[in-house]
This record gives sequence, structure tokens and C-alpha cells, in this order.
Amino acid sequence: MTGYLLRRTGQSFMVLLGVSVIVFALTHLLPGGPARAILGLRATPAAIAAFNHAHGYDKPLYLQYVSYLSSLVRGDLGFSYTQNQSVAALLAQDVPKSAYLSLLALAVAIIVGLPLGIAQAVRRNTVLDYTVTTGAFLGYSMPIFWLGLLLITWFAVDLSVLPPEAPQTATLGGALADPAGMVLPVAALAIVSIASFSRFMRSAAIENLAQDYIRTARAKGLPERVILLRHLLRNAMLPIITLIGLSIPALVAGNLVVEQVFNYPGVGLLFFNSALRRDYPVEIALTLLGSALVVLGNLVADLAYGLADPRVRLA
Amino acid sequence: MRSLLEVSDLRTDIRQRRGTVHAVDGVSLTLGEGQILGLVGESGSGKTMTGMSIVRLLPSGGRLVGGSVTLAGQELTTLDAHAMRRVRGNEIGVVFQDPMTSLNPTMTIGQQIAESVQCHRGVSRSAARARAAETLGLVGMPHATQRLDNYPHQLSGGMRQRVMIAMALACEPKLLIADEPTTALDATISEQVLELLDDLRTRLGMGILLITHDLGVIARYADQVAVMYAGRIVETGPVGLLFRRMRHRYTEALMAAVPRRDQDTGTDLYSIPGRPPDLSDPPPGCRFSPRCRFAQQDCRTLDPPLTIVTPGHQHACWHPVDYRDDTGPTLQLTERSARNRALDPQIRPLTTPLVEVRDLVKEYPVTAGVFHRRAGTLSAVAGVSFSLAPGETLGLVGESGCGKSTLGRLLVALEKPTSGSVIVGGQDITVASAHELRPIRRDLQLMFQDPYASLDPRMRVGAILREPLAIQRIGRRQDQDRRVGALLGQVGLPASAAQYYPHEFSGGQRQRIGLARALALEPKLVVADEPVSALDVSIQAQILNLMRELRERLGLSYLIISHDLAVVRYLADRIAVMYLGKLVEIGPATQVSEHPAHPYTEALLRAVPELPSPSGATDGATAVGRARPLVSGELPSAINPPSGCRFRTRCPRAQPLCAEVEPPLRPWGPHHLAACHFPLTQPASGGA
Repeated sequence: MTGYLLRRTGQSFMVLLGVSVIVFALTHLLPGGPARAILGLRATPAAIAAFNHAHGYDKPLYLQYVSYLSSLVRGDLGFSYTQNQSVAALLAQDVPKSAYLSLLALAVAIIVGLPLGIAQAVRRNTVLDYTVTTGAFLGYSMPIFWLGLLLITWFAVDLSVLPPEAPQTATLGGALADPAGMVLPVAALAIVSIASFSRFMRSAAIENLAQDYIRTARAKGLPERVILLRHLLRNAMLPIITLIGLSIPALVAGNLVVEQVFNYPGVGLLFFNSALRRDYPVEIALTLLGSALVVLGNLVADLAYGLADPRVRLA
Repeated sequence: MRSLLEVSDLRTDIRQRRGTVHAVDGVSLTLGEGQILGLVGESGSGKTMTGMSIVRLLPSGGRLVGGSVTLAGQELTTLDAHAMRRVRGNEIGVVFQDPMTSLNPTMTIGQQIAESVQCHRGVSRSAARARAAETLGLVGMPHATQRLDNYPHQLSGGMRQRVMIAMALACEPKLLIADEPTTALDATISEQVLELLDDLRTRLGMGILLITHDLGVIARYADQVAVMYAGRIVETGPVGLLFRRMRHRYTEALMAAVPRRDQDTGTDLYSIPGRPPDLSDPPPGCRFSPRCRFAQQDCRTLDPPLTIVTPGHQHACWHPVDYRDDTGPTLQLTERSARNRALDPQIRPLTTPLVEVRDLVKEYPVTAGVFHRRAGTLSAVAGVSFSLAPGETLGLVGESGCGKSTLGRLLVALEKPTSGSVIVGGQDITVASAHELRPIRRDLQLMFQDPYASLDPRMRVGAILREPLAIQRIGRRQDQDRRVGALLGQVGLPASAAQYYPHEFSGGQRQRIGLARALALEPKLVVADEPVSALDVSIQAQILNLMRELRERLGLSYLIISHDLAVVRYLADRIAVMYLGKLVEIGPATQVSEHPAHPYTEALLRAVPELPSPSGATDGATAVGRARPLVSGELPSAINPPSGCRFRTRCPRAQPLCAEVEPPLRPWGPHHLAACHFPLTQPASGGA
């Protein structure tokens, strides 16, 4: 297990190193380079040369990469010229809020999606099954920004039961203090995941319900509730664990859209605004962060799978 | 004997899209306390459905439509779902066929046994756990308490089945329903499990409904037998009487289809033509009549009632076996003209062998750790040598995990050995390049065990049979199509079969297709890995007869790999016995099966329950004698095999020498070799 963890962590670092090369290359593929991007189209060649010299952009490429890596390792992610703050400070402010939104949405998706899928499997080919299936396809096929707008129109404008905007706050505490404001963003983000989780759970549960061990549990005279919760759930969950790990990129991408639609000051909105203002250091840092999350999500999913399934020996 | 279970006129329907299947159609059974009632029949006969109807564990669409089931005086069919749940696992325990899939892989065995106790007895968690340990001890699990925290995958097949039994027994049920409890197990392990069940019913006074397709198991363990066919009981009676004085023509045919120890290998096995009927639309009259040789007009129109022969012995047949002239069964088996035993190893001249295997070794590395360093070696085949003459059939037997399938794959060059050689037609195929191998592969073909999994479901049968011809670039398209038609004819299928997909055929027909595929390239050797173990007795006989007929017609050699000694004995000229990668005995089939030299061979032979011979003893109810199992325990791991003789850890005759010196293969007689320090019979002095 320890050996497995070491090897997988090592592999993850290799992936991230590869990503850093791509990200580093991006800064050099920018038309005119970062100097032009930051100083603007009207900057004089002299100003650009001075900028390049000041930031080391006139040194050989490999040296630049080494210095980029060394500052990365030290936690120096660069400086946002448009916001006049270090990127690290921006992230420290916005990451917790986005994590709160994402994790809440993930939790809701799991809590709603998995039982829904099991209920469908148990009541297979009934009105309930068909209704949930139709709903899941609708939710899955709808673009998330459109879903967000619909939710605002229905619940904030027509019914006026929920605020149309996410909590406007600089800190995580502010977001925590306003649960009503989080309902619609979380719902918009969770609905897509609920749709996919319930579909996968339905087929996994149907497959497992036909297994011999379920018949054995019935032969023991266990109540149906115990059979579903103790025997079916854990076995049917196994393929879903990987799915949840793989859904992390989708959640990150979903954040990007949802935070814009609901004006939630998280990483997604930061990324969106930075893109509009060509704030490259921020975008590069966020790209790197996104890759790290994807790698981490897969690692966590594999570890969780190993814990959930005693047959899998991680080695 | 007090009656424990009374089933009368039980009817179960299964509603399916294509119609309603009358899976159980008026079944009546009686089981006494402490008795074993054997329910025997082929797949689809409704035997499992009968068992599941008693506990109401029916598949979706299934429901009881009539009859009654009383357990110790209590009517079960009228109980509501909740009350029935209190009966299941508490008063009736169920043991299923495959212990691997029947146990929950994500729960420890302790939890799985204890939850039944907690559910029915309402005891605390620790009390339930203590009971689980106690029950595991009862079923002979060594170190039961430590084993509680094991998961099913950490146990061997035999141990898993013990866990299944412990689970069923945890609440001390009055009735145990065992549905094919040992079908997934090796003969030696199966014997241990059946002995355990037999022992438990005497100790606990519990009744057992033993559902199986294996007549031998019934003959050895059951007190009463009920034979099922197409949803009905066709004959029932005490075991001794039923096996020696069977009356129903189906019972007679079923028994004739089983290869016996004293089977004359020169005769065809009796095979029942056709297939069991479709139970959504059963034939009128006697349901066996379309396949019965003795059927008359009345059989096809009138339903035969159960007729009482003697108290307890009943049958439903219009023209039963007649014993008045005391000549025994009248079923005449087709006698073949005495087979030209040119292949008889006793008289066979020393011809050039077709295949010669020399010191074949196959090892698989076992890796561990971060860098996959080699942690050990799994020794699958460890220095095996033998030769196979043209037209000869060699039977290879041994428990699962002994390396027999690996040996088969090495022989057809599907795997490269670690060392040693396989010489075919003067060429060593273990060193041949892929290019050199291609023409040789024509001579070496495989026939697989599972006719469901080994044919590509998306290819038509014609394409499956044409593929080898296309790969070897034999003939043009029309020639290939003609060859496909001829092949289908050879295995007894119509030429139109080429147009269909594999799933449209029955298991027996699919195995015919598998055989046709193996024969497409006119091979010299067919390696048949468990060719009939997935088939029912009546179908098995059809395939065995076909394999024999083709061998004689085409001059084939077979390597028959099987755990079923009766099958091997019926087809093989010589038998080779493998244990943990080693050949422990090899010799002429009759010699090995009648006068085995190696204790392991004897143990394997004795582990297989035999049918009492119908012609031999007519003295009625002689109990079928049996001794305690000869081998205890299970096949050790091939990763660190025991030193010296690999069998010594389970051998009743083992002595210190066995651990130190590996016994060499020594000659016992003409072509008969065995590797044992303390053999059952003395070797030929001076050798052969």
C-alpha cells in the first residue's frame, strides 16, 4: 500500500511536470510575448526590452524554465498585473469559495443521485423509472449556463423564493453565512452530476441485483432494506467511485460557467475575468491548479476504490 | 421417520415476454427428518425452480400458482412476504451452486454468517459473531475464529462452500436446500463437502433436499430420489431400488447415458435424441414421449399418472421397464463392431510419435513491490514428458490448478514453455518462429470447455468455420463454403446452420460447432479442454459418441483434459494423472483405472461417485458402499510447492523420505509409469 502510494504520487508529479512544460511554453507562444500582453499594444520597443530584461525574458529558454520551476516550487505563482496582487494571494482568497461550491454540489449529487439510481433499479420499468430517466436525460443534455438561467428565472424572478445571485463576499465565511444564496448555484452544478450518477448507479444496481449474492442475502431472510443498503449499495458503488473521481474536471469546468452566471466570486469567475483582461499569470496558475486537481481526483478515486473493494490489492 | 417437508401438486409459472413457462408443473415430494432427498434432472427440468419455489426465491415474473408446501406441519404457500422472510434462513437454509458468486465480495465471511443470526435471533453483534465462529468450526473450517475477518476471495473454492453451508446452518434450520452444492468444485473437494453435509444431517437431524444433475452423487448420498423431467416428477423411490429397478424410460435412458467404470469402451454411450421440451408449450401426453424409444400412440396423447410399484416407489410411464423376465433393463445399446484396437497400447507397435513432449517446464513469475521485482515463481508445469502416437487418445486428469490446461496450451503452441521441448512431426514447436508455426498449427487444434464463451457472438457459424480456412489460405471462397457445409454435416448439424449466430443454438449444438471449428483444418491432434463438462448428461453422451466416431473416421489423436474420470476413461487409450505440475502416473486406461499405482490416482478414482451397475446386482436395495475420503485438504499453492514428492502433504502413505527425495517415474508394466516411493502395487521388476 505504501509502495503503491509512493509510486502513484511519483507518477502524479511527473504528469504535473509535463503540464508545467506546456504551461511554460504557452507563455512563450503568446503573440509578442508576455511583455506585449502586459504593457499593451502601444508600448515602445525600448519599454518591452526593459520589461523583458527586468523579468529575465532575455535569458536562454532552459534557464527561464529553471527559474520558472524554482519559483513554482517556492510557491511563487507570479503576480497579477491587472489586480496588482500576487497570484498566490488571489488563489488563497478564491479557492476556498470555489471548493465550497464544488464540494457542496458533489455531495448533493452523490446524496441524491445514488439513491435515485437504486430506486430506479428496484422499481425497474415503472413510471418512477421512466420519469427519472427522462429527467436525467433532460438534465444531462442541457447546457449548464442555460440551466442556471432557467433556475434564476423560475426561482428568483417568477417565484421570488431565492436570491438570483450567489453571496457577494470576499471570504469563505461570507458564503457560509448565506446558505440561501448558494442554493441555485449548487443546484445548477449538481443537476448535471445527479443525472449522470443516477444513470450509472441504475445500471450498476440492476447488474448487481441479478447477482447470486443478492439471492443468498434473500435466502438468509434479510429484510429488503438491509439487502439494498448493506449488500447492494457497496457493490454497486464500486464503478461509481471511479466515475466520481473522473467527474472532478467536469465540476471544475462547471464552476467556470456557474460562477459567471451567478456572479459568485470564486476561482471560476477569477479565471473568466482574467481571460477577458489577458491576465496571463493568473490564467497560467489556474490551468496548473486545474491539472493538479484532475490528477489528484484520479489518485483519490483509485485509493478509495482500493478501500471499498477488498479484492483490489493496491500494489 | 417423521415427515418434515410435504410438497403436493406444486405449480410455479414464470411469466416471460414470449409466454408463460410452467417451470414446476404439479410436483409432489416428501422428505423425512434427517433424510436426504435427491432431486435429479437435466438443466431446465425445473429441479432448481422446485427448490426455489419451496422458499419462494423465484426470479422476476415467477410465482406460485398452485399446490401446497408444508414444513413440519406449517403451510408455507399462504404465508405473507414478512412471515416467509422469517422462515428463510431460519427454518430453511439454502446452499447455492457457485460459492464465489453467491457470497458478497465486499463483506467478511464473519459478517455474512452473523447477519443471519442477528436477523432471526435478535442477539447482540458479539453473540452473533460467536455463533458465526461456532458454525464455521462445525463445518470444518480450520482456525474458525481467525477466519471470520477473511473476505470470500481469500478462501479456496472448497472453503467458500463451507462458508455457504455455515451461513445456511447458522440458525439451525430444519431443512437445508442444497442446489448443486458441489458442481463448481473438484471431485476430491466435492467429496469432502458432501461428506460434511451427510455428517451434519445426522448430527443435527436436519432434512436435506439435494438438487443435482449428478446421478453418482445421488447414488452415494441420497436416501430417496425424485427424477424430474420437464417440470414434473417422473419417478421417485428409495435410492437402492430406483437405481437397480428403475421403471421410467427416462430414468433408464439417463442412467444409460452416464459413462461407467465398467463401461465397454467399444460401445457407444446411449444418448437421448433431441432436447428437453419448451415448457411454455409442453407436448401433450407424456412429456418425454418425443425423445423416448418406447413411446407408443397412447404416450403422445394421454398423460401418464403416477403409478405405485411398491410403497414409496412411483413412476409415471405407460410402458415402463419390465423386470418380469428378470433380465434387467431392456434398453438395447447400439453395439459397435468391435473397434479395431490397433491403438491398443498393449499391442501397438512403436510407431513414430505424433507429438513428443520432453521435460516441459512452464513457470510464471510472481511479482511484488514498487518495482515489480520477482518475488517468486509459480510452477505450473514442472518437467513433464510423454509422447502421443498417431490416432491415440490420451486423457489428462487432475484437480483444478494442477497445470493440465497449461500443458494443453503448451502443446498447441499457444504459450511458450520456460524450458523443454514439444516435438511435432520432427520439429520443435517451442523454438519455431511465428512464421514457421503457422503451417504446424493446422495439425494442432483446440476444443474449448465453454460452448457459450468460446464462439464469437457476432459472427455467423459459417464465418466462424470459414475463418481458419481463410487464415491458412485454403481454397477459394466456394471451396471454403463447401468445406463448411461438409464440416457441419460431419458433426451432425444441417448445412443451414451456417446462416445462424451461436446464441441461436443449444449448448450441445454449440459444442458441435466448436468441434467442427477444431476439425476445419483437418488437424492430426485435437486438444479438448473439458469438452463436455458444461453439458447435460444426455447431451454429453451425444458429444462423446461424436468425438469417438470422428476419431475413428478421421484417425485423429485427442488430448482430453478433464476432471471427470469417467469421461476420460471412456474415450482415452491412456490416462495421465497430473498433480501440481508433475506427472504422477501415466499408463493404459484400464490399467490406471483398475490397478492404480499412485495413491493420488486412487484418491481421484474413489472421489467420483459411481452409479451402481444396473446389470450386475439385481438384489435390490443393497446400500451403495463408500469409504471415507482418501485425501484430505486441498491442492497446495504452486508458488512454493512442497519439497520431494509434491503430493506428500495430502498423502495417507507419506513418510519422511517423501519430503526429501522426489520420486522418479518408474515403470509398472508395459507403457505404465508412476512416480511414488510407497506405491499401492509393486512396480515391474527390471523395468519394461
